[in-house]
Amino acid sequence: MSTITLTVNNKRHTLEVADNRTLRSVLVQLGYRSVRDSDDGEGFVGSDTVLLNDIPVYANLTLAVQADGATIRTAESLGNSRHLNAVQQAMVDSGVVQSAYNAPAAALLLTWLLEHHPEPTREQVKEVLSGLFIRDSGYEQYYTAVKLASERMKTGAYQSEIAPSFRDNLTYVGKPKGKVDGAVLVAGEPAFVEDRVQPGYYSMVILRSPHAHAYIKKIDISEALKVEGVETIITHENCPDVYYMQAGQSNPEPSPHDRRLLNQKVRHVGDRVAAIVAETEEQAIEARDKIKVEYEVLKPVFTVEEAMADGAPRVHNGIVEFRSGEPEGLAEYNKDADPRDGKVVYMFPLHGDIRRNIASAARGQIGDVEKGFAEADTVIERTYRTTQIQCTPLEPHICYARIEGGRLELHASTQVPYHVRRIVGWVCQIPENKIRVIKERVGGGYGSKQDVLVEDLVGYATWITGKPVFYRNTREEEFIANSTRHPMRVTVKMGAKKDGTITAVEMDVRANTGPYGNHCLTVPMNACSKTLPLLAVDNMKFQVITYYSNIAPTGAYQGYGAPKGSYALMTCMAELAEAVGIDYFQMAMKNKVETGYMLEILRGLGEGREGNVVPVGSCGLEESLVRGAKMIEWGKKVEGPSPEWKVGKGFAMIQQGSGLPGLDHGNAWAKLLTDGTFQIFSGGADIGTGLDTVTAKMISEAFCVPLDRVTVTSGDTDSCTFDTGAFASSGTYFSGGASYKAAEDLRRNLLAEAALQMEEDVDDLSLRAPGEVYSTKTGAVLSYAELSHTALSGTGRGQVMGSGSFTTLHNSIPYGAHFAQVAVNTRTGEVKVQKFYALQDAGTPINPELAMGQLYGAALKSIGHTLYENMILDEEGRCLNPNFTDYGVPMISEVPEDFKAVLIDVNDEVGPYGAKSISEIATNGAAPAIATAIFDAVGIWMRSWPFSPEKILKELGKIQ
Amino acid sequence: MIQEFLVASNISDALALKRNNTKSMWFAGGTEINRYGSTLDAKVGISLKALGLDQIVDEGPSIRIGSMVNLQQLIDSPLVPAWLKEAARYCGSYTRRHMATIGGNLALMSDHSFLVPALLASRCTLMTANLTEGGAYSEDEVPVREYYTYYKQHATTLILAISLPKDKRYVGSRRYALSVQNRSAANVAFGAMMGEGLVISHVRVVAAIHGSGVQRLSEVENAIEAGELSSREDVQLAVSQALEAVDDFVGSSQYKRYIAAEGIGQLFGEFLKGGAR
Ligand SMILES: Cc1cc2nc3c(=O)[nH]c(=O)nc-3n(C[C@H](O)[C@H](O)[C@H](O)COP(=O)(O)OP(=O)(O)OC[C@H]3O[C@@H](n4cnc5c(N)ncnc54)[C@H](O)[C@@H]3O)c2cc1C
Ligand code: FES
Repeated sequence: MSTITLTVNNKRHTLEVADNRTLRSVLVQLGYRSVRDSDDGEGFVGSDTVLLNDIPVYANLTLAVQADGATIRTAESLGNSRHLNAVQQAMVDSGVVQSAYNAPAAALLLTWLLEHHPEPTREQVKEVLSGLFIRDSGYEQYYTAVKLASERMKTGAYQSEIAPSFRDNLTYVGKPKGKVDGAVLVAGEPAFVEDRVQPGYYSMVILRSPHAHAYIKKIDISEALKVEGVETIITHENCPDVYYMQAGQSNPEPSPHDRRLLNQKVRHVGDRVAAIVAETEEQAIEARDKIKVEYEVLKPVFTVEEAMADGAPRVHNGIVEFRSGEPEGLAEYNKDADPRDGKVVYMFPLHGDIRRNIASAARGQIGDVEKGFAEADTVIERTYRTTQIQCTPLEPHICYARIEGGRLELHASTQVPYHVRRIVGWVCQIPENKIRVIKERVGGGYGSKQDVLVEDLVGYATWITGKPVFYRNTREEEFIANSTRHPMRVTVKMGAKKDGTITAVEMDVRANTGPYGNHCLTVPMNACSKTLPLLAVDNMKFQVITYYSNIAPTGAYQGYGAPKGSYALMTCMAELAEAVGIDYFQMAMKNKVETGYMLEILRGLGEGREGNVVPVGSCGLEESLVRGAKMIEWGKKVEGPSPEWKVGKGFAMIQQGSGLPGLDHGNAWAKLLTDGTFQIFSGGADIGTGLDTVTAKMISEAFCVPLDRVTVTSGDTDSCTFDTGAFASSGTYFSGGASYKAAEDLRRNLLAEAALQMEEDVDDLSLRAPGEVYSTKTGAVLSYAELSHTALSGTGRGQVMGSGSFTTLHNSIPYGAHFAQVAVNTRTGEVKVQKFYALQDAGTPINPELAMGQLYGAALKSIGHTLYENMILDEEGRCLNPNFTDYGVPMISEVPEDFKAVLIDVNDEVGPYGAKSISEIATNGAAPAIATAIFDAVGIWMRSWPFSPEKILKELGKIQ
Repeated sequence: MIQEFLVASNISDALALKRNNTKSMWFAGGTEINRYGSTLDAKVGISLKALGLDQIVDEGPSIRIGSMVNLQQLIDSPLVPAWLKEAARYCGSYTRRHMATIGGNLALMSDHSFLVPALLASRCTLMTANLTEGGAYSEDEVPVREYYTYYKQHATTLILAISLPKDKRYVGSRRYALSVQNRSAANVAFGAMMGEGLVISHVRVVAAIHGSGVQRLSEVENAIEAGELSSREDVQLAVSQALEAVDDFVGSSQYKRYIAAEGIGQLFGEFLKGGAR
């Protein structure tokens, strides 16, 4: 122990610390909670950045004793949510504060930079941010934030444009107005699950499987239970016999219920073996070390090819059941089942065959592909492969649960609070009214928090023990026991006539779902459903088969299967163009869909049921292509900086959806408060993307009141109404659509009440700033405050409220095109993305600055997937790179030299104020755009991502 | 993770603390010692922060860089040659560069080292301090190649400073990794002098290869000095044959051999074109 003195934010602290305590843990203990950690002290992410004697350091990589006598600044010194400093405010205004787990660290670094260099260069900004990993918004808008802050510090006002504006007739929608939760987030104030944990909580740790495939023969917890402080240990022997699915999807789920909380069979390295709850984490770890497990190790399968081989080991060999649509001969099929494997319960048939490791399958077609291929002058068939990718949210999966008033209360970092409630209810076997889920701010989700990966266990442990339980994944657990991108093998066969008309397309998708079938139908289906409808081709056919294996789990990841499908389909189209001898851009222009084209292909692309055939609605595809081609100077050859650097250009057409028509559902309700301000309750889960701001804008726009007159309560299952959750690009469209309808309903009710109070006809009344009802006939005015006061007086008619529910069968598809210019080094295999232009139509971008951030963030993420991100397993199924340094994620140094996001202005006919979705689609372009650019540069086709230098060198014939 | 942190008040004190504490380790920036997943194992950290080793001094014929100088200081100092600044930039994080020291980096001698290949290629000298067996204080000037060759024997040696001769010598390095902050597959360096009549001398060829450690390719050095390898292609071939490399998650052995040879070939080509750095 040592006595140290720290002066933190001008306050002196003298305290006794153990020599091995990190500076971060001491700062957090002293109340400086903005100093966060994203990697358990790896020293990579920088969420723990502080200034030590005016020098930036990682507090988690520094011992507290090292800092004895030092002056320390944390983000708390900058300002608070009500008084932000210029940098914090500029960060909020420019749209970089999104999931924001390390936004306080960024604000601290940039404030420091501006203190030393009031007008920093781009290089200086890049340098200072180089030690910070930012996953949500890419890095590009940070340059804008610094510029704005610098201008304001110098002149008192911004001189530059924050972001483009849309819709001149609207005041809030389509305008950069900041993010309603931005101030709290950038100031580092309590917002995340970890900030809600009360003293006296119990810790949970998990014993995980060292084997990829094994039966637990024996598990002995007797010694572990003797460890002081241990409250309970949950194993497959004492957990509820409830089969469920962790994928937070629509109910009934298009994923098999193929797991219990803990299973007798472990199916991947890192699978749950036991959960230990104890008074302290140290006690829980000590107990974990004392659990004795005997395994019967089985041969694992890791690839689609291994899984489909005759006689392959069966990942699931239990009893198969169906909740509906049971096929004939099931009893016979189940004869072979091994009870140790448990069950696989299908809610409805997904064409799985677990004895052949098939979790689900689907197929469909339009026209006659054989005829189409016969009509073609050239037919090619190519196979593309993608690897397993990690979402890497900066805030790992985390949950804190406690019993409150006899009910189970979960503080969760989730995209799907209502599915958490349902699934935890199933597991605990308690009704939903006994559970409250409070979605806190989410420090990054990207799909992985659509899956209920920790709440099930924490909720159950709390329910049975009655104790408050806290659990947080380590970064390694984030890699090995989490949702990741499904690795896929996609074969595309395509035929075209000499003039470039595509006559037929056939797509064969083989997906690897790993140990459990999370999203095993929907993710691979998206490889087809979010790509094939880009093409106006009469003959199309697809087949999707998903296999179980023993790799680390997979699940939802931004874009679902679309990035993989897009990579295969677009690259194959470029290969076909080359084979036909026509320019790839011309081929795209010739075969793309346009408004009004009837999307027959959608019929076969529903998620487990027949899809709706609709025509293409609002569509910015052509404009994206034409403008993008102009920006990148398509067709103009560019010389590299030296002979070994070859430059090439590529692009891809992209699309996604705006939620799932006929499946997704949003609800909201709103009320007028007594002083004329508003509160709106949305079921939607804002995961950092700005959904709460969309919600607030629905009220602001309808009632002509500024955003600070509107309070948004969202993601709390007690006070808000049901919403399917933040996935499948549904936020703005479905949840925002519900808020729009609630605002309209409230508006109608408010006008009706005003008409009665003012004794006027409703048709003569309108609403206007700063918050009043105005009679166009008499000129009479009634403020919302007066109106509400009267309505709520003893003789009033009661609170003015409104509600809205949004469902649709319409498909508001966002479209776009991503263009890349790359330089490839023919001697080293390096690929540099010199230019990346992401052009997308999001309908009306309700929060343009946040939409741009989503776009930059998703595009950069997909550049990472394309070039280097990759989970590598050894022959036993152990992940060899479960940390940031070895896995590799794009940092500011990897941002393309010229990176532009362009919002193409189209107005959708169904979405709220004409909005469609923005972010998922932006993950679909990089792989095919870069692959086609590489071909243009050096004449090789990259048919497997990531395009590492080693693979490039192999294709170039430099190594074998 | 260390359990006890001792701050040495002067160099003799540091050496005494080291000798008197089993399982102790010099503690510089701590970026490797404190890091999650570090392979370093010590119970006691002996902090060097109070020893005044954080200066860069122009000593006329050479530049003396204190072992506690951090990588950002190297970049910011006008005294430091370009080749060393470039190697310091291989540490892609500005924040980490402020914490990581040159002494710590050198002492780690890691297979993905930022600085070791370049420092070895530079023929720098290390100022070291140690206690003799009898406990007497001794300072030494150790050529970096000797420190490398007898690395294990230097386990208790305290590096005080690195002395860079100002002679007209070419030094260059190249680092190959998937991204700036990924672990490198290879970091290679080449150093040499071009004398009268284009005689090449004092050649150093070094490669830090992931999974196979830091390698000094003496045979290649000798062959270049002897004029047996005179073209970039010759050097590349010789390097790829001389290098040890294994397959691992960072890359195949073939890739590592290829890329290291390519890098050294490039550096050799640059050297031939002339110019000291
Ligand atoms: C995320 C991350 C990635 C990293 N990647 C790399 C990488 O790619 N390449 C790389 O080279 N390093 C890497 N490092 C390690 C490290 O940051 C650097 O090597 C750094 O230069 C070590 O210096 P330090 O002062 O922090 O060393 P410390 O951690 O303090 O010490 C490291 C070792 O050096 C010894 N030592 C320190 N000073 C002296 C001295 N004066 N005399 C003798 N021995 C001494 C210590 O006893 C200890 O054994 C990485 C670190 C992190 C956190
Ligand atoms: S050590 Fe910096 S975020 Fe973990």
